[in-house]
Amino acid sequence: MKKGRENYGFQLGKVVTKRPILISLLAVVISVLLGSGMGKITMSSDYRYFFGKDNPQRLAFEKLQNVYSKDDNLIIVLTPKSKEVFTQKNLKAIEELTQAAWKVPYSTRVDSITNFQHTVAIEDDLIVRNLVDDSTNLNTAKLSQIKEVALNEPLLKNRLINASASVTGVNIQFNFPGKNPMEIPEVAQYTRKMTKEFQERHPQFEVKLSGLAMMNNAFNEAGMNDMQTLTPIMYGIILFFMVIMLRSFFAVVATFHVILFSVISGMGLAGFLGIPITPPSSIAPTVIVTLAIADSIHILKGILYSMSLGHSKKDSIIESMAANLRPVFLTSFTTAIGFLSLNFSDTPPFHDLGNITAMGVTAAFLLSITLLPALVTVLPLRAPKKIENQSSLWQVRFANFITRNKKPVMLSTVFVTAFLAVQVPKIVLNDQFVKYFDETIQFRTDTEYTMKNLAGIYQVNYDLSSGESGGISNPSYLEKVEEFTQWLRKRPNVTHVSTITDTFKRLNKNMHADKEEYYKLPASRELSAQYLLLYEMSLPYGLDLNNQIDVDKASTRVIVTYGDIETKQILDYNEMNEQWIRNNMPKHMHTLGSSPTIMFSHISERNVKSMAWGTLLAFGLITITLIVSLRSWKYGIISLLPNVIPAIISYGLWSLFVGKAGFAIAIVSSVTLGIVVDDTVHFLSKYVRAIKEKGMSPKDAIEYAFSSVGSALVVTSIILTIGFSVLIFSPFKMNMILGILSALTIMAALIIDFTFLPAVLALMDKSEQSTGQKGENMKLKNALATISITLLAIGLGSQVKAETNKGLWVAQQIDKANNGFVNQSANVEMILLNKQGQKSTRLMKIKTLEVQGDGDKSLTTFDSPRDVKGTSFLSFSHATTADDQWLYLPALKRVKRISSNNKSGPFMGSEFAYEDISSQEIEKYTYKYLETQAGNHLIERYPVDKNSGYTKQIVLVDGKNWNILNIKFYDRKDSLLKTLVYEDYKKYDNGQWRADLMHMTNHQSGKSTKLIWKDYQFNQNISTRDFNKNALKRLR
Amino acid sequence: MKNFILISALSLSSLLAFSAELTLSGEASLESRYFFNEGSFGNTDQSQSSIVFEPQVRYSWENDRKVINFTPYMRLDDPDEERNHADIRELSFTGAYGDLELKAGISKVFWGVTESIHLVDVINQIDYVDNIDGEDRLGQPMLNLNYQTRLGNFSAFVLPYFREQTFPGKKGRYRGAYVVDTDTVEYTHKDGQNHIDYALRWSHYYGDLEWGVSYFRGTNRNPFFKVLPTGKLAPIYTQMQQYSIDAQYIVGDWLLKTEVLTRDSEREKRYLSTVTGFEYTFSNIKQTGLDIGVLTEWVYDERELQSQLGFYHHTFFGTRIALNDAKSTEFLAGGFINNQTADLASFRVEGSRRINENWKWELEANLVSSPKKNSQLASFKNDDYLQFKISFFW
Repeated sequence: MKKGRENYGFQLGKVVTKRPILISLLAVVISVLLGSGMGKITMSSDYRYFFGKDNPQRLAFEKLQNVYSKDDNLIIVLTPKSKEVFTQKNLKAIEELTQAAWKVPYSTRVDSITNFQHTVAIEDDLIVRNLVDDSTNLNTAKLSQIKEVALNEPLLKNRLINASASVTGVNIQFNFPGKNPMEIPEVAQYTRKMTKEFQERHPQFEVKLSGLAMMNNAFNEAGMNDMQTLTPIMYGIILFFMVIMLRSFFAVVATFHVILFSVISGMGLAGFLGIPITPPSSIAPTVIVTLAIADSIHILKGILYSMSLGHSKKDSIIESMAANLRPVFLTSFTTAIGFLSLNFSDTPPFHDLGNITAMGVTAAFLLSITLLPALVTVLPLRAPKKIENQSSLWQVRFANFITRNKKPVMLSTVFVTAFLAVQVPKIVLNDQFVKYFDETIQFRTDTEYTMKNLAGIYQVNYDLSSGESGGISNPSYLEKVEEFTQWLRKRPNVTHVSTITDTFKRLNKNMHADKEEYYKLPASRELSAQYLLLYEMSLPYGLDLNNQIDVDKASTRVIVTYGDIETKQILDYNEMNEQWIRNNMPKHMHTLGSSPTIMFSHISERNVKSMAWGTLLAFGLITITLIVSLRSWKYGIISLLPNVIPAIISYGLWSLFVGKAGFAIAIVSSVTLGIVVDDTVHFLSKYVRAIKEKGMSPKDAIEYAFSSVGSALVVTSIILTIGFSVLIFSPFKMNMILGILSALTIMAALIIDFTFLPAVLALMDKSEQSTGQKGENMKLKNALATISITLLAIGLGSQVKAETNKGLWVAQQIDKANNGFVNQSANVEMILLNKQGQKSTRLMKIKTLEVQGDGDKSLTTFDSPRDVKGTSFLSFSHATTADDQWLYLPALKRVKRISSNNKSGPFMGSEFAYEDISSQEIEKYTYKYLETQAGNHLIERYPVDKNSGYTKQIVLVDGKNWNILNIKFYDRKDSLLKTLVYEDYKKYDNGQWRADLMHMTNHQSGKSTKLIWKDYQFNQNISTRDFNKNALKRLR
Repeated sequence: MKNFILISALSLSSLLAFSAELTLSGEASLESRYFFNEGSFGNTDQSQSSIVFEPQVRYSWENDRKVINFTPYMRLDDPDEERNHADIRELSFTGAYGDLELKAGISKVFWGVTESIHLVDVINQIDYVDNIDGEDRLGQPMLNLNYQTRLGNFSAFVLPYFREQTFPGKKGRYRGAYVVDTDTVEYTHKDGQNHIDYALRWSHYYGDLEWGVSYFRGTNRNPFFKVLPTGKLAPIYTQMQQYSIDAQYIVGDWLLKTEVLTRDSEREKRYLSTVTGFEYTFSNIKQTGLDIGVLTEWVYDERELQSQLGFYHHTFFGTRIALNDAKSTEFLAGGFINNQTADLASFRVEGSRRINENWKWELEANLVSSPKKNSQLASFKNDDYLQFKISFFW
C-alpha cells in the first residue's frame, strides 16, 4: 500500500470493508425506499407541458381558448376503398360513426359531413337540418345533391371532405378537465376501440386517427416506448461491455447493482417529487445508466489493478477508494451541474430530464463509493492476472507525436473548429411537431395522410375583435374579415380557411330564395344579426357557433390551416398575415396569430435563448470547480477550450450533414458539458501532478498523463458514446437528435483531449519556461479572460432578466387599473376571529386620496371599539422612501408622528400588518412572474424595504380586470404566514373594481381577520387639505 | 318669530344636506384607589373612589370640515370634595375654510413630543385632581386660527379666560401640609381671570424631522403660593412670556425628542427648562406583534427645587409594552431617577386591557420612593397608591 493516502476515500474504504453487509443493506434499503416513489410516476400527456407556464405563445393560445370553445380535437379520417364517399352505404356508416362519436369521453362536439347544418330557404322560412337527413332513403339524385353541397361548402371542403370526395373526416372536439393524466389515453383507447368495431362492421373503410388529442397521446406513447424499449437495450449493451472489460462475473454483478439502484433511486425520487414522464425525461434512466457505469468502472478498475499487483482484496479496495473518491466525486459533480443547468430551458420536460438525471448521478456516485466496495468485499472476487500498467507503446508514441507536432496539431484544430463554428448558425430550426415522432408511431403516418388529403393540424388562429358587443354583424367589420379570408385563401400552402363570413354569405343566399347572386355578405347590420339569430336558434345542441364566435358576439376567429410545411415558413407566413392585418384593418382588429403550431414554432428559438444563459452558467461553475480542484488559474482556464470545442465540432458536423434540428439542440451542450469535462479533468490532473509534484518537463508530463489515463479515457468515452447512441432507437426524434449529438460531442471531446489539449499545454508551458516574464503576462491574461467571461455571463443574465420582467408588467396593470379613482371613502367593518372562534369587531372609516406621482394619502378613523373612538391614523405613503405616519389620540388631542419602521406589526390587533393596509406602490416590490392560471397571473413580489415582515408575497391577479384575487405572505423564515383573499369584487360607476371582502388568515396562529367594505364613495369633495394634522384633530 | 323658525329650519336642513353626521358617545368610569399608608397631613382615608362621567356630542358636516363638539365632564369623589367637580372639556365649533381653520369655543390643544413631562404644552390648565400625571387638562376658552401653508402650519390663539388649576381638598391626597384654598386666588394682573392671553405657534415637518416653535404670553399656568392667615395656601397667578421649541426626529426605530422652553415670569428669574431624550421601539418582536419601547428622557429645570413640576435634575426611564392583540393589552412603566443622588424619586406603572366593545379596565400604581428632602415630592411620600378603574364606553 502506498503511504500518505489517509484521505476521506481511505477512511471510507476502511469503514466499508469493515462492515460490508451493513453498508450494502443500508444502501439497498435506502435505494429501495427512494425507489418506492416509482409507483407514483405519472406520464404527462399534454403537449402544453412542453411550454413553460409563462411562455407568451402558450398564454396567447390559452387566452384564445377561453374565448372560443377548446381546440383539443380528434379527427377520424375515413377513406372508402371505392374512392367515393357519397354512396348510401358510406353515408349511413358515417352517420352511424357520427352518432357513436358523441359517446367518446369528454367530447363536446362532433362534426361530420352528415351532421353538417345545411340551410335551405323554403319561401320565407330558413330550414336548418343535417346535410344527410335520412340515410336510409337516398336516391342517386339526392346523393349527387348532397355531394354538390358538401363540395361547395367552404366549411367542409378540404376540412372534412377532400376535393375528389375520396376522403372524409369526423371531427370530435373535447373539453378535458385536465384533472387526470389518464384522460387522453382513455380517449385514445376508447376511440381506437370504437373505430375498430366500426371497421369490422364497415370493412369498406380505411380508418386513421389524427388531431391534437392523438398528438398528446403520441407524446404519452413515445415516452412509454422509450422507457420500455431503450432501457432493455441499454442493459444489454452494458452487460456486454462490462463482461469484456472487467472479465469478472462478480465485478459485473456488483456494477450491475450500482446501476440498477441508481436508476431506481433517481426515478423513485422523481416519483416522490411528482415529476411526470414525458418523452424527453423518459430517457433519464438510460442516461443515468451510462453515467453510473463510468463511476463504477473507475473504482472497480482500481481495485482489480491493485489486486493484480498482489495486494489483498481489502487493501486494494481501500487503495482504490483513496485514489478515486476525489476524481469520481468531481466528475459526478460536474455532470450534475451540466444536467441541472437544463432548468434554464424554456421547456419543462427538459427541467425534468436534468433534475432526474442529476439525482440519479448523485445516487450513482454515492452507491459506487458505498455499495460497490461493500459488495466487492463480500463477493468472491478473484485477483486477475497482472495487469500491465507500464506505458504501452502506442500511448508513448502518440504522446511524442503530439508534442513534436504541437503547432500543426493546434493550428489544424483551430482551423477545423473555426470552420465548423461558422457552420453552426446555418442549422435550420424546424419543429414540425408531427415529425417529432418517427414512422413507427401511428400518429405520424396518420397525420401525414390527413395533411395530404384533408386539412392538417398546422393551424393558426386569428382572433379578430369588432371592438363592440354584437359587433360581428357590423357590415364593415364583416367586410374586413371577408377580405382577410380571401387574401388568406390565395396564399401558398394554405389548405383551408375557416371563417364565419362563409356562413353569413350562405345565409344571405338562403334568405334570398337560394339565388346564387346573393352569395355575399348581408347588406346591413340588422340583416346580419337577424340571420345569425335565426340560424343559431335552429342549430341543434352541441353544434352551436361558439367555436367561431365568442359569446358576446364581439369577435370571431379565422382559422388557417397549412399543409406540410416547416415551422420557419409558418412563422414567416404568420408574420405576413399579422402585417396584412395591421395594414388593412382598423386598430381594434389587430391581433397576433396563435396556435399549438405557433407555440412549437417558437420553441427552439426560445430554448436556445434561455439555454444560452444556463450553459454559460454551467461553464462558469465547472470552470471554477476545475480551477479549485486543479489549484491553478491557468490550467482551469485552459480547460475551457477542450470543453467548448467539442460542442462546436458536433454542432458544426450536424449542420454540415443534417442541417435541420429541433429544440433538443439547445440542451445538448449543457448535457454533454458535464460529461466531456471528465476527460479534461482526468488528463489535466495527471498532467498538473506530473509538473508540480514530480517536476517533469511538459513533454514528459504529457507522456505520463497519456500513459496513466489514456486507455481509461478511451474506454469510458466509448461506453458513453454507445450509451447515448442507444437513444437513436427512440421513436421520439428530439431524443434521437439529443443522443446523436451527445455521442458526437463525447467522441469529439476525446479527440480534442488527446490532440489539442496536449498541444496547447506543450506550447504554453514551453514558452513559459523560456521567459519568466511571460508567466506574469499569462496571469494577467488569465485574469482578463476571467473578467471578460464573467462580464459576458452577466450581460446575458441581464438580458434574460429583462425578458422575465413580466411580473412587473402585471403589477403595472394592477396599478393602472386602480388609477384614476381620485379619492374614495368607505366604511369598513373589521372582524377579528381568534383560534377559538371568538370574535371582536372594529368599525372604521377609511378615506384615500390618490396622489399622482407618489403614494396615496389615507386617513383611517376608528369608530369602534368605543374606547378608541376617534383614534385616527394618517399615512402619506411614498413610492421609494419611508411613509410618513401620524397617530391621533383624541383623549389627549395629541398627534403623534410615528415611525413607519414598524410596518410588520399588527394593525389594531388584527392579522393585517400596517404594510398590508398601506397603499401598494409598484416601487415597493420587485417582481417575478410565476405562471398563468386559467387566464389569471401568478406573480411573486419581494418587498424592497428591509423592515418588511415578509420575504415574498405570491399574488394571484385576475388577468381581465387586473384585480388581486389573493396574496400569500411568506414570513422572514420564508414559510407561509398568511393568506389574504379578496372576494366579492364589484364594479363601481367610475369603472373601478373594489372587493367588498378581504379575508386574511394567519396559518401559523390560526387567527383570521375579515375586512368588510361598505358604502364606497368615489370622487368626493375631498382634497389634500383633508389629509393633514389639523384635519386629523377635527376627527374628535 | 315666524321668520326665525323658517331660517333655523332652513339652516338646519342645509346642514343635513351636507351629509352631516351626529355622534353621541362617551365614557363613564368607576375609579377605586387604595393608598398603602395614611396621609401625612391628616388625610387619613386609605381608600378613595370616584365616578367619572364624560359624554360627548359631535356634529360634523362637509366631510368633517365643520365640526361642533360638546364634551361635558363630571367627577364625584369620596372623600375629597375638591375632587368633586364639573368641567366643560369641549364646547367648540371648528371649521376649515380652504387652508384656514377656525376654532371658537372651549377646547383643548396639545403641544409637544415627550412622554414623561409635557413641558411646552401650555394652552390648557392641568386638572391636577383628576390625575397627578398631568395628562388631564381643563377646557380652555379660545379663538384659534390655523393657516396651513407649504411652509407648515401657523397657528394663533386668543385665550380670553383663564382656568385655575384644581387642587385636592382637606381629605385629598397629593398635597402639602397646607390645603390650597381655591376660593382665595390672587392675580398679579389687574384683569385677573379675564386677562386675554395670546399664543403663536409654527409647526412643520420635513422628511423625518418634525418641529414646532411656540410663543405664549399671558397668565402663568403654574401658580405661586402664599400662606393665608387661615392656615391655607392661596394660589397667585402671575404673568409670563414663554418661548419654546419641540422637535422629534425619526431614525429607523429611534425617535429622538426634545422640548426646550425659556420662561420669563414675575416672581422668578427667567429660566430654561428641557426634556430631551429618545424612544426606541423593538417592534413586532419575533413576529408576534409584541412591541417593546424603551425611553429615556432627561428632565432639567434651572430653578431646581423651586420647580413646580417636582422634577428638575432627573432622568426618566420608561418602557411601553404593547401586545397589539385584539384586546389592545398595554403596559407602561416608568420612573424618575434623581441625577444627583441616583435615587429613584418616583415610579409609576399602568396596565390596561379591553374587555369587550364597550368595557375596559385599567390598573395604575404610583409610588414615591425616595424623594429628596424638602422637595415637593417629599410631601407625597405617604401617598403611594394602587388604582383600579373600569370604564364603560358607548
